[in-house]
Amino acid sequence: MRHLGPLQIKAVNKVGDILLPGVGGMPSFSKTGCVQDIDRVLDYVPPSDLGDLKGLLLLLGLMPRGFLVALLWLLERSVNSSLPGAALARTIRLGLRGIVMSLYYGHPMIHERMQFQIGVYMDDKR
Amino acid sequence: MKYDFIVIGSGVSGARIAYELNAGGAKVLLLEAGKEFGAKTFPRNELDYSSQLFWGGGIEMSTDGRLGFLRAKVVGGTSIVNQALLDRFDDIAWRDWRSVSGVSYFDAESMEPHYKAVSKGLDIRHFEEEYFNPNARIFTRAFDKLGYGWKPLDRAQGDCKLDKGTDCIVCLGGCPRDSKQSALVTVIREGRKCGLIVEPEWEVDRLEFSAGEVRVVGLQLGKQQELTAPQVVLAAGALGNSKILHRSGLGAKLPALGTRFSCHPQLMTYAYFSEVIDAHKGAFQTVKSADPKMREWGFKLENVFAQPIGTGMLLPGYGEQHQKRMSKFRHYASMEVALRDEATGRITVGKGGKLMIDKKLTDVDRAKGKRGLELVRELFTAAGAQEIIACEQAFGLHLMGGCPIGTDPGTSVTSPEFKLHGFNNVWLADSSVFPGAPGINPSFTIMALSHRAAQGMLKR
Repeated sequence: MRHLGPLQIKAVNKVGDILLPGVGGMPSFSKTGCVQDIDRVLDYVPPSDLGDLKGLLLLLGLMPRGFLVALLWLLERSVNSSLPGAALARTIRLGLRGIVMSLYYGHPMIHERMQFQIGVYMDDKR
Repeated sequence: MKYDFIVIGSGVSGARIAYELNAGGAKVLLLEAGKEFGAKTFPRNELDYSSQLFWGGGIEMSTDGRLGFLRAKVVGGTSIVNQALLDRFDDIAWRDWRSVSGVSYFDAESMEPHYKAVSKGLDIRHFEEEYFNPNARIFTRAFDKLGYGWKPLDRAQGDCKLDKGTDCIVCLGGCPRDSKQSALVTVIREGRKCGLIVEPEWEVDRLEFSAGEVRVVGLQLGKQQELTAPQVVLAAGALGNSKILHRSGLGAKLPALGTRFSCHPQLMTYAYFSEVIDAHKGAFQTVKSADPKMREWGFKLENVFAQPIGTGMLLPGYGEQHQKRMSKFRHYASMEVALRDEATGRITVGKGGKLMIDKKLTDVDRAKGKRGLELVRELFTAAGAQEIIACEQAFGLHLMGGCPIGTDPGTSVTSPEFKLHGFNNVWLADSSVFPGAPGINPSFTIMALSHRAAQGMLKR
């Protein structure tokens, strides 16, 4: 994992486990180990946005879990809010959600649990 | 090499114009900011294609964070990642465009020769009912039950082997069969056979003007580059063209630059059924609303679906409830409301040349959206859905305006002859010239406009 240090990786797993705690046959975010794939996402994030994200994750990595739970709850409330700061909250929400949902729901283990399978007929192209 | 034209952007507009100019004997260089992939090299899964084929590493946001925009960054442009749906504009769209722009040829009769010309070489297919998957059948049965009109979509595709189990949703990340008729496998392929040069990973920053020539300045594979040509075609889309022209310092000279941005905001609703739907299987997008009432109400409905990451992003909330819903992915149907939004958005550049997309839904847009979502709820209820979930996050995939066409340089950026107002050597004919949202898939009309524009460029 080239882009993030240990504290930032810890932040991704903490946020991931709050957004995706695990239920039924679906494991929690950190149990999948999907954070290992994070460079597949971050390699293509524009440098200025990546810098902002890394700073944010450093901050989140230092926060106690209870504080993170409250923060993510507040970010979720920003979706339809017109209060000052709501635009920034929505951007942060989408950024964190984008990383977590991409890594988790892009993981083969989760596809198997969801019984998600797609394919293309290629026998005529061989 | 000395080029007659440099075309910036390789989507359906840039690729078509480059092809026509090349075929007309001009020396053409086609630049694309994104990479080039092919049938054998497209990213094979949603995680990778979402990051690799789109600007911003996947998504760009409006300044208020309410709207997400998906803008392709790849040779072939949006035609690589869309469903190659082709619709002609109707009289309503043309009438509204004539009224806003003052452009007299915006009518079905004048544009028909251009639609016909770009159809040549395209395999346009109509989806037959035998290929409707359960999601489409839920859509059509609900429409029939409530008395609303629908019709199958027309798509530019070769033989996708749907009867052999192909799942079309794969080609949201590029078609591995070369059957989706993207710009890459049609006009770019044909153009290359006749000497068209395409340079990928060439990101244009700005244009500079001197002595009747245009200097194109940017980065190729991260290195500063400059190219010069007597004529330049801007086909980088609403966001790309607006950014390039702002960065070229033309904001003062073109007071309407960046204005009239619209995006057909898409509002998805998922519906849970006790039986397996497998909405992602087979031909996943096959039907749309075709009802004059909905046209009047300002939206259309389409059956559509998303892969797991997309669905995870769209379904509201998080935690156990969200995961429980996702675990039942195969039981969901979905429908989208595509709004004909008001063209009130504005594209500017901020600090460090960062793109700023100021686009808010107006009260009129929100009223249309509310009506559309209520109708979708009625339709899914009629279809027997056990749970109906309206998604809160709206996305725009049809990015239009920013360089609107018109007769008045005070309120438009592009002349009826497809030239930048005040310039004889900069041309535009892509979605950036749209003076308003048509409420109809824009792809076919972009191709037709580009064909018309290319005729003018060759005559210059």
